Amino acid sequence: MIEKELIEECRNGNLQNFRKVFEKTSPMIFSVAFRILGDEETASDIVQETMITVWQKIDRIKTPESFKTWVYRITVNKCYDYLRKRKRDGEVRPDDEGWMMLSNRLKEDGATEMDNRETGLLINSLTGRLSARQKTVFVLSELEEMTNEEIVKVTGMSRTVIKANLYYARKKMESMLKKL
Amino acid sequence: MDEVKNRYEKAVKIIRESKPVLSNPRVIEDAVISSIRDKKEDRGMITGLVESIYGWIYIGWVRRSLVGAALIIFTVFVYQQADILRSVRSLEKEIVSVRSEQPSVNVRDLERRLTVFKISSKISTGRKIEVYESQLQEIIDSYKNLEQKYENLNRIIEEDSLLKNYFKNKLKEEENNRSKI
Repeated sequence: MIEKELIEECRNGNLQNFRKVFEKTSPMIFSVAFRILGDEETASDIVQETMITVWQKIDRIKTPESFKTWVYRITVNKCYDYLRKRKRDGEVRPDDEGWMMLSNRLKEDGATEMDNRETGLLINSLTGRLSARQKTVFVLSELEEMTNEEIVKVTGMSRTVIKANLYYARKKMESMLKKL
Repeated sequence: MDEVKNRYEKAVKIIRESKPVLSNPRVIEDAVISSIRDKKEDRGMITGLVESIYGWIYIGWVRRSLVGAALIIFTVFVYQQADILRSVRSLEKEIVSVRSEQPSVNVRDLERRLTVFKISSKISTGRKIEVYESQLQEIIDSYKNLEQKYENLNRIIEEDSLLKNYFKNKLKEEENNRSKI
């Protein structure tokens, strides 16, 4: 949680305090961006862009409670923009390695540590066929463990749309896992 | 089916537990801060430029003079507009009027008056023009005279075949010369 005083100081142009805001907020921005995009470098760019937007528009924050939701919303919107661009550019990602890894991981009993690259491969294999909306709802709900109420605030989608997207995302992923 | 659900739950659990870590937070933080500083400096330069160009408007006497000049210009503009409106209104009233020198009532005169009215409506230009009936009658009479002369000439030519051929040839020649040019 970001303190009210910290936000006030940032509003007054105190960059030193903004560094504290960065330290507290960047991990959650990176986590969401990385899980939606499945790419470390792009997620780092999203962190940078989001933090600059936060600084520029911090005047809009009315209460410290709404800060987290607001940052999530900026992050998700930036990820959407990136996904749209990626779709337009027709980027294709090979996922054979990811499927192999996922298959092996599912056979293992205990949990083993993974680095960002491995995690990215797993995410891309599992969510590669989902639409931008389905991917976002899946990440926020299943991986970031947000409530539907929070997702409504972050994405602006209605509860019904969120439930439908989550349902179809799950169905798609299950049908893919059936082939393993 | 349960096996697929289990696979799904396990896959999600694996990904959920593997928290992505920002590997170079310090570098990104510095990049963000320097980008913010650059933008601040850019904004500062723009503000300085604007102030150096328009800063003089904040001098007291300059402002008062500008306000006075603006008021004078506005007053002149309003006066001009009113003047233009007045001119337009008076223009609407300006029509061609035909004055009768002597009132007459017979049928022939009525016919003549009708011709005068038709002609006067054709030559209306929107300006105030006064035409006397006598002047118009003069024009009509000369036109009728010309018409009569033309008819007489035509009749003479029609009656004389030699003259007719001569004129025909002459007209043809004229036509050819004109087309050559």
